[in-house]
Amino acid sequence: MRNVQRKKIKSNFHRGRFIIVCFCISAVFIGLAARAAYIQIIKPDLAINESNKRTLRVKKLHVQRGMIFDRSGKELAVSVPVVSVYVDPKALNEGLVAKVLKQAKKQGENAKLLAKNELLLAKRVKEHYQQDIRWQELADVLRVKQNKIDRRLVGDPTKRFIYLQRQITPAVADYIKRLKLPGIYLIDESKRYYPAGEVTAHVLGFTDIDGKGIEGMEKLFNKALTGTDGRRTYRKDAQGREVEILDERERVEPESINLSIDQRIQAIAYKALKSAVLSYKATSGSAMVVDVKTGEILAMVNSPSFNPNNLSNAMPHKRRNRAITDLFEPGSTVKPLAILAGLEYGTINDNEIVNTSPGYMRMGGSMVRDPRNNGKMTLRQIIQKSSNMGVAKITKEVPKDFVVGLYEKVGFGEDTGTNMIGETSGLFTPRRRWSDFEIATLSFGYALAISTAQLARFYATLGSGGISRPLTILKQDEPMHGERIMAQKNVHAVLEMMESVFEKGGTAPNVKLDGYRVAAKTGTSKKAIAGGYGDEYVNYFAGVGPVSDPRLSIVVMVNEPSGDEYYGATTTGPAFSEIMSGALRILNVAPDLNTVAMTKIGADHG
Amino acid sequence: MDIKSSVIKKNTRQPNLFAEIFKGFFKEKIVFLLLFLIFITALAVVQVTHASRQELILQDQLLQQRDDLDLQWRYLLVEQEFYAQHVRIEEIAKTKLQMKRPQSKDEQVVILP
Repeated sequence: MRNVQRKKIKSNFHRGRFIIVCFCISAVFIGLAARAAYIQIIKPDLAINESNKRTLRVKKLHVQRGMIFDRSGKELAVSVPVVSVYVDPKALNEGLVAKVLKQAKKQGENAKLLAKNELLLAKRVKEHYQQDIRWQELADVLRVKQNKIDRRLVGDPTKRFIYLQRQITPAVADYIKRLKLPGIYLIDESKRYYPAGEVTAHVLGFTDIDGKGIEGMEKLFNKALTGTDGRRTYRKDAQGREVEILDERERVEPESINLSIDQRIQAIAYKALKSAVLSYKATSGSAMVVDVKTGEILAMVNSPSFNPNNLSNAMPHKRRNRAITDLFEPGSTVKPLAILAGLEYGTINDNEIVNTSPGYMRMGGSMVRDPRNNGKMTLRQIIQKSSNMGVAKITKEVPKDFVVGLYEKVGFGEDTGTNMIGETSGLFTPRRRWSDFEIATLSFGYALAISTAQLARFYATLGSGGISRPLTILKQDEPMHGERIMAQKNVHAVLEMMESVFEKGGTAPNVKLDGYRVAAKTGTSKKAIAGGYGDEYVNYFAGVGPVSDPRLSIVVMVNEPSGDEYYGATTTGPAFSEIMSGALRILNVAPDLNTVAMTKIGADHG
Repeated sequence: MDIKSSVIKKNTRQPNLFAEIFKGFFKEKIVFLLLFLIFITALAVVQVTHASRQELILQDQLLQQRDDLDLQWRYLLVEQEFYAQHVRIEEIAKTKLQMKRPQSKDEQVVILP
């Protein structure tokens, strides 16, 4: 009975309805599944793109250019982050149009009609632009005249990229950012700043506005100083925070460069040289300080100089690193080398007396002469009075190959080893036939042209007792590898002779040296012009100190002094003595001149 | 059969579904344990993801802070270098403080034994 009843209940089951319901429901689900499959499998890019647009961000990780330090870690070149502002005039125009249309809609105008009416639209846009006070603020903050900036902003709306200003400070950039102007964008850049300014300008060089080294150390070590920007791809959440890092390329930090320059000595040298160049109205000047024990360049300065932080006044003649690029005949400053040639070859000894009488000598049709007849001279006197006859007679007795070979060995004719940009190797061609007269002129510093750096290297060789080292501009942990080219005994003898220059009767009796014994030589050479020698002079003062244990080799060169004075001792002497005593004091070298009071501690004099 | 019959309500043959599922859980102990573990790990995943995001946010903030400090440091460095210029210090020492470079006659050299 029960079964019968149930059947009766089931009887209102309609097969047709059931099928339709089943069909509809399954159709809905199949439809959903198909749509899902379409989105997920067949065309997944669309959804992924939409998601990425909202969450995926790429951030550039900027890296600043490496710093340049002096030998004690003082910063000589620092990169500071700055911001550049540029305008995209097309985006700006579009932004303005959108604003104008929005306003029109608000006021109940027919926006579509306005959009079609180009003339009216342009007028409205212009009005809107002029009314918006933010554009004035932009001009003010960039310190540009309004009409000048207008031309760039709305002058030509087809353009896409115009710099408004480069290298503004982050504070100004932040202000511009907060103005929220359409079409105005900021890009991060960096600016090179040289705290020491013109003092180190020639050594360091400078970079172009895009931060690429184009001169001096900046160019030489451009690769090491440049890092690689990193980039990070990440997902952000609704609040803009990073929630997932998808890909990261670490930035490569650049190296920093430690120069051998001692900023304190560099500053003293620059000041002394500048005042010498200014007070004798010279065209230019260079000075170099070299550590004779290591071959490191402690100072390299030139005048005139330029401000590397603002290149608008840096004419090419100011930019040149004259100490390594400019060549001059060294004149009397190489006379010690001529005497050394004699000593080394053995034709003379320390106590040699050279008869320079009658003060002139004919050699192969040309004359070698002294200003006056000095008669019989010791080697010391030859140096003291800077006698052309003396050195010419000494080198006459030595084989030519030996003299020329020695000049070649001390580094005349090859670069000094600094690898600096624009360094010259001088004008000296050893392998040719030398006439007797040319050897004589070589002995008093003509018939070859060298740079200030080469002369400084030669004096460093004298200072180290005959060991020739290449010069270096980078800080070294160990002294540069040197090669002995002259006997220590002979070099010491010549150094002691060179002290006589400061004595009464020497070429620089008025140069006061404070506290230190110094061996030096003056030089006054006429400048060669086409067809002979002109009226201009080059003045040198080169020396090493202190004589008891040489530490520094210093060369001061002043080119074309135009005052009444043209002797090396007068124009370059004060600068030389200032640099020498100042630098030795800074390096804490004990004075060896006996005018300084000495106290012995612990000695038994009570 | 006897378990099934026991949960059948007394006056009807319809089983109590909730009680039935509940009983079933405890019957398959391993399955229940695994289910429980899945719940725990699922929650843990959520928790760890959240924690890692927090850490990431913090890291980003710190990196940003580092860059900001680096920027600030560079500007301070430039400022310091400006004030520490050799010429400027010498000027102040000479004019304001009336200092001068020592001459050799002012010097006393002390030689240690």
